[in-house]
Order: sequence, then structure tokens, then C-alpha cells
Amino acid sequence: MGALAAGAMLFPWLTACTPEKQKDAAGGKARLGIIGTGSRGRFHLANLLEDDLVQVVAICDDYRPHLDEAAAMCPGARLYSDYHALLEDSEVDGVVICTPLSMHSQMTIDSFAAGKHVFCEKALAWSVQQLTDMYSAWKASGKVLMVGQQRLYDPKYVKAMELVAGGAIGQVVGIRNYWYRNNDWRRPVDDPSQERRINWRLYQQYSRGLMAELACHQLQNGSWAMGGLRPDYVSGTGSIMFYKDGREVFDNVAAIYQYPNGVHMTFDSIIANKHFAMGEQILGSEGTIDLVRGVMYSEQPRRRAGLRQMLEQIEQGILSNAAFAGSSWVTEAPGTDKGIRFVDNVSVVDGASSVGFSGDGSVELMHAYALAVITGVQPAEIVEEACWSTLLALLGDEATRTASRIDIPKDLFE
Amino acid sequence: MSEFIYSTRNPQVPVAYSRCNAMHTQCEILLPNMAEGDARALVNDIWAMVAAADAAYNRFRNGSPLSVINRNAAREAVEVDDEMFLLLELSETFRKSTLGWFDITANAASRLSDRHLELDAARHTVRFFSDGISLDMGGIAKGFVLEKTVKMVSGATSAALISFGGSSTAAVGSHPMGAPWPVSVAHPFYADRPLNTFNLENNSLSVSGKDPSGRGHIIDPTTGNIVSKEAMVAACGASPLVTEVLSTAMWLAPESDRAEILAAFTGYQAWELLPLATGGAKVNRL
Repeated sequence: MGALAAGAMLFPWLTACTPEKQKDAAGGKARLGIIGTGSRGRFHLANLLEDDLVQVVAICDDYRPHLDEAAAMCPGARLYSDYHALLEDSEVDGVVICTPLSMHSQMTIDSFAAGKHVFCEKALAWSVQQLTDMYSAWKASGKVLMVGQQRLYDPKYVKAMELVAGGAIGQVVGIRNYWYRNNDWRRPVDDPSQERRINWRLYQQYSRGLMAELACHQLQNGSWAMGGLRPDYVSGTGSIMFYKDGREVFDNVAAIYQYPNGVHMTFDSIIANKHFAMGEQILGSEGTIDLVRGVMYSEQPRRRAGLRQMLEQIEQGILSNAAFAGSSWVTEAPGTDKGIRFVDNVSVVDGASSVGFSGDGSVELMHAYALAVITGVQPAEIVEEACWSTLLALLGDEATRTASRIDIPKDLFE
Repeated sequence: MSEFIYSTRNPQVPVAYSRCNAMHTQCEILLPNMAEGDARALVNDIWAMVAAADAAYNRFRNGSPLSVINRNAAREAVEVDDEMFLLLELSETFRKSTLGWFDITANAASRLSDRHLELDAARHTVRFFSDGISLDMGGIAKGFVLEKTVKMVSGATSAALISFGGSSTAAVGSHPMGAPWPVSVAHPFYADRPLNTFNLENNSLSVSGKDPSGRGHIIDPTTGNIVSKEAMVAACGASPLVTEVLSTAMWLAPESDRAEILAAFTGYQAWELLPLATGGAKVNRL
């Protein structure tokens, strides 16, 4: 977490996990209850069980096989099949909500009403109305709200955004996101009556499809790279062209967001081809940042000034260095920069997993939540960042479903 | 094609600047405190010499002495002129003193032998031991020509700065403001945050690494493959020919060989420069 704290001036939410703040939490324990123990819930549970600041005191799921699997991971936790009962548990300081998208809003609002801190998986809400209701409930609660936008805590992304803000790639002229998989996005279902419950991601009643489940992470890159500027509108299209199995959400989508300064951010996803896997690229007038691989490329090898720079200095009576030395400058050099890695030990993921990835910021994110639960201090601006990501995902989904252009309201989270 | 500028904007220090494209790069000369006519005559002589060398040591130029060697030396001993023979002898000497890491036959198709050519000093001939060998003078010719340039400049004036593509720089005398020439190694991204600055005075600096486009061009003589890595190596010392060879060898050589190689080059120093994403470099004296 120390490395993250270095970028805290640019990333307000990181100020809540500086070494000083960590001291405030020394000896404390965040007593957490997990609501939803499916694959994502158990992914977080495994990380939380390794965190010294956390005690998982309760787990809840109304699907018994999932609850049993989680119970085996933490035998001391109390088991609930109804989240309302968990919220009445006075030993639960905060909850971790990992349920289907359509349940997030009500569960979050109920948790605040019960006096609990909340971590909620992304996307935050199934609809814009639900999203604003959640935001209002959080504002009124005085409690901590954290969201599963783990890139906000991934050192690779933090470093990249620091570079963008510092002008390393010049003016941001485009943001490209894509996420390709080759699987049907289905979970095995033993009992056909459980189809919609287990495969909720495929049905519009519970899910907002690829835009909410995948794009939500990547759209956040735009807000970061554009220095908080928000897009004016989104256009999109999508279809079910391969998995014609009764699902209601698209198996391929494409959305374009336009910012007030004319810059576009794109997201496209196909789940019937995985060749290009996952990409998140910030394109600048002088360079490109590949967020997934942690590499920065020079747009055009910076042509060195050469001795002419020293000529000009002598003309002005200046004794100064001239930066012209280096490996041989080739007169016909092509623009094939192989880039420079901007963080060590990059774990490059292909985006194939629907659960989570090692080293993607999830551990840091959950640790930050535990700190916030203990100290009661809300990390700054993370809720707004997450709300904007969800808003862009929801309106992107609407644009793809209606093949239209949707205006983006700017005043929902003030 | 060359460019010549003579500036008197600083009346205390008139300065001539000239550049031309040769040896696959941009060659530049800065000559303070010379009369315009003298400076113009000097650079004309230098560029003529450089052009002749470029023609001789360019392996891609059809009919160049080097291309003739590469085409025929596997079948028969090829007679070469004094300068070419000197350069071949020097290359063999450097191959041995760099433990094989500097090798003008590095792109040989066969890697079965550590010695690919035979030089006959009596007849001034060169012969390859097998097919599939070709000589690439890219790692030594620029330093050799720069050394000749330094000699020409030193015979005509007391101060100059000469850069061949930025990878080989030679300083004659000192900066006209009365201090060593401060030469910085450029960062690939930040013009104002160089990797390191070297103060040159009657010595040379060579830098090896992937080229500014990020493309690797130096061949590992043990594998025949082009090497690509982030770090660069800078070598500093009296002779631009030696620093050119040394920076290449030290860049290619593993850490375990570097001390032994450097020990063979008395009076020379080398540094590894690892560019940092935020500018500057991690500098490691070798």
C-alpha cells in the first residue's frame, strides 16, 4: 500500500490508506459479513481471510450450495439465508455485497438503514434510478461505501494515470477498450428451475450484460485519463449473433463515448473470439499507454535536437548540457517503438476469468475497505468514480440495446 | 548533402555548425572560434572522408569493398587495402579482448566456431572459414571514422564537439565557455529529463542499446539473434573507436564477464543506464 500512497495527491481515495492511516487502524478488526457467496463472493472471501485487519463473522446466501462452499472456507462465521437477518447481526460492522446486479441497490440501501458500512460489487446498480437512490442513501448514512472497481487500487493503473496527468503522452486524443472472450458466459446448472438464478448474467431482468459486467471496469479508465472530464453522450450497437441459446443480453457490443473536447472512448466486446483478449489503451499525441501490459510507447521516437541545440546555447552565451547522446539515431527509423515498462512485476491478465485475477488490485481494495470500516473514514471520491462508471455502463447498455445516441446527465452525483 | 551554418550571434564566440547524413545516421560537428572559411574547408574535407568511408564499409552497397569481401571470401582469399586490413585486425583484437562479445561476424549463419575468418598479414587478404559468414562493420566503422575526424579537427583547431548519430560523441578541447562539454544521454520520452550527463574534454562517449525507435539492432554473437533490452550502456575514454567497441560489448556481455572486459581497457569507464518511466535513469557504474 505504501507505493500507492505515493500517488495520493492525484488519487484522493488513496489518502485513506497511507501509512499514517494504517496506524490509526492498528489493533482494530473490521467485522464483516458477506452477502452473496457465489464465485465472486468467495474470491473476495479468500482475500479477506488473509487480511489481518478482517474478521469474517457472517456469511449469507439463499442458494445453499454456495453458502456451504463459503462456510467450509470460514467455519467460525455465522450462516444466514436471508440478508435481512445478517443486517440485524450486531457484530457485523460492514457488509460485502456480491450478489446479482439487480439486487445491489436494495441491499445497499437496507444495509445503510441497518447502520452498516458497505462494500458493493460493481456495477453498482441495474438502473440509473437505482443508482441515484443508492447515492442518496449513502450520502444520508454517514457510513463508508466502497465499490469493486479494483483498478482504482491497482498500482499499475495508479502509475499509468500519474504518467498521463504528468503529460508523459501529451494530450489525450483517444481511449480504446476491448474485452474479448470465447466462452458462453454460462455456469453449470443441475436443476433447470435454477437457470435464471445461476445464470442471472444472461437475463435482462437481473443483468445489464457486457456493458455492466465488463465495460464498467474499463470505462473508468476514461474518467481517469481525461482528468475527471465526463462524456456528453454515448452511441452504441450490439446483438446476439453467436450464442442463440435463449439468453437476453448481447454476446457482442460496441459503444462510443464522446467527451466535450471531441475525444472518443470506445468499448467493444465479443465473447465468441478471444484472440485479442483484453485491451485498455490511452492514446496521446506523444505516446500511448497500454494499461493491461503496463507499457508506455513513444508515439514518435523523440527526434533528438542534436548539436544544433548546443549551437543555440553558445549563441546565447549559455553553458548548458544538450541531450543528444544515445543509441544511434537512424535516419529512416520506423515508428515501431517497443515501449518502456512503467511498473515492475506486471501481472498481465487476459480477461478470461469471470471471477477475478491475482494482482489486479482486489486485495488492496478490500484492505482499504477494512481500514475504512475500522476508522470510519470514507476514502474520498471513490463513490463518485464508481457511480460514474456504472452510469456510463448503464447508458452504454441502453445505447447498444436501442442502437441510438444517449445524452449523459452530468449532475446526478453532486 | 550537408548543411553549414556560421553564426556570429555571440560576438565573443563565433561558431560553425555542420551536419550531413552518412553511415545510416546524422553526423554533426560544432566548431567554435574558427574563421568561417577555415571551418567550411575543414568540414568539407571531413564529410568527403566520411562519405568515402561510408562507401567502403557499407555492406549493403553493391560493389563496396566490404560487400566484395562478403560475396567472395568464403570461396577465396580477398585482397583488401591497408585501411580495411587494419580495421579487420583491430576487429579481431577487440573480439578477443571483449571475450567474444564484440564480433563483426556476429550475424554468421553458423555458430559452430568462435573464429570465422583468417587474416593473412603478408598478403593483406581475408578469407572466411565457411559459407554463411558476412562481416558487419556497423559496430566499429563509425568509431573508426570518428577517430579519423578527431585527428583532422585537432590538426586545425583547439575545440570541437562531434556527434555521429548521438551514439558516438567526441570532444576536442573544452566548451568555449571554459568548461568540459556537458553531453547528456537523451531519455526516450522526456527531452528535459536525460538519463545522465557526461562532461567531455578531449575524450569520447559511446552509447549502445536499442535505437530510439525501440528497435533492436545489435546481434548477440552467441546466438545470432538481435538483442532487445531496456538498459543502455555508455562507455567513456580517450578513443572513440575503443568506446564504440566497448559500449557494444558491455551491453551484450553478461554481468559475469563485464569486469574482465573492462579490465582489458585501461583508462576507460562504463555505466549501465536504465531509463525510468518518469524520466532520468537508474545509473550503475560498471
